[in-house]
Amino acid sequence: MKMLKYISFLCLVLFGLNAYGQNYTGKAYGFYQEKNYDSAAVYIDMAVVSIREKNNSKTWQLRGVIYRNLEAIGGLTKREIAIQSFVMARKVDTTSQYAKEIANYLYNINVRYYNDAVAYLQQGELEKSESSYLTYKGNYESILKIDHDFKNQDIEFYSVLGGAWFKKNSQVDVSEKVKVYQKAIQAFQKTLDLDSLNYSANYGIGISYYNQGADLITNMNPFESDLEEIDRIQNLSIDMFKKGEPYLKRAFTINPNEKEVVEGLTGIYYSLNEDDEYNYFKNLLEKMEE
Amino acid sequence: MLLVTLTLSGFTSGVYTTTGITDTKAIYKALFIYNFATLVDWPADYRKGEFIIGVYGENTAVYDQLNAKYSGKSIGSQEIKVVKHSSKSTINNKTHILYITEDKSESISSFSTEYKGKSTLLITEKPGYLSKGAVINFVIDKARNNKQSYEIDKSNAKRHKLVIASKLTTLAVKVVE
Repeated sequence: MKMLKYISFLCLVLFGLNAYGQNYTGKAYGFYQEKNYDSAAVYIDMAVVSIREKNNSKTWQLRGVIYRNLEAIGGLTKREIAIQSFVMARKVDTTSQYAKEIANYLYNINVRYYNDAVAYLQQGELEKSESSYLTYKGNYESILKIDHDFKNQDIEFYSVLGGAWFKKNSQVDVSEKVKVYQKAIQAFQKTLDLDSLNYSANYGIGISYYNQGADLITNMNPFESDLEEIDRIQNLSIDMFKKGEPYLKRAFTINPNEKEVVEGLTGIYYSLNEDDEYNYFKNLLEKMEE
Repeated sequence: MLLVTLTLSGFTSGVYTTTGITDTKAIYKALFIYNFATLVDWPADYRKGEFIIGVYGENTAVYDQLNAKYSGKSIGSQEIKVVKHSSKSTINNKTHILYITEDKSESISSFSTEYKGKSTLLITEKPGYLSKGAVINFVIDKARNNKQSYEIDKSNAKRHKLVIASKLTTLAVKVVE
């Protein structure tokens, strides 16, 4: 129903353009109807610099719609032009006659940034994903002029982003792993800043540190690791295990029935040579595996 | 335009996990044992043929590490052979290093007696076992962050005609002269 409403509105706007006869906006609309968006863009760009047409909100709205359609082949630049056009449409709409419709245009086009963030997550393009998500959020304030509470969305997004970075460590070289784990930890930390009792983020940080400590040990060169090197790696890995411990403990407090967190704590206490704690979690793990 | 809002539901918890518990202690012990092999001098008659590292006991984690990393490689001109033993009777009497896992620790006294004239570096992993005849004993250094470490009994080494490099004693948590 919402979709029909937008289409009806667009028709209304564009019927209104007939009044312009064969001005640039009218020509642009003709090409738009023929789905010839490139030619439509040429004429609408002339319209928005024309003294007669540049202060007409409908002209700017049509420009936004045309450029929105060009995004499929022209990329993000076209989307940005579409957004700028809708913003201008709002600016010249001094009586707020089209305020609701323009707000809808802007809301809908901004959702594309969120969808991009999700699509980039699926593709493993995680930096681009976060960038798109931040643009989506930033546009609420700067363009949509809406005071929106993103807390729950941030908690979910950064928890998922952390998980995606974590998963990426299985696809990268050893030299890249530390960077990837740090990215995972940073993302999970953003979730924890908003929700300190979030199980996934606590577990994610804890296990990221555990894996880094274990990786340091497993990646030691068996022939070139002399006694000093063993000592150095022990210091570094202990530091990692100790950093991970409080997060896994908190995750265990939040959800003591998750086998993965019990396994993580078993691994950490085993590696820290803390026998009492190790035996406690090892027994718990064995019971869970029965 | 068809507006589609994608959701994150497919990405939520459970998408990442640890790959299991890594036996970090076994990795360290195998690295230490290799270092011991390079920092101890054996008598001349032990410097030819294979360099034999025996592991005696039920826990095979250290054996697995040693075998995977060092079997077929060399110490000097000697090829390393790693052998697992569940019975004392199969242990070659020209074994260079014999690592006795915790479950077989009690056997150290008999090894100490039976291997008196042999140059086998006896290694245990139980507190107090230097006094029972081990040359090197793996211990946890509680004063230094519970680090995996080792202690040495130089007199036991002498009994087996083994010369311990000073670097090995310097980094030991305890040295018995």
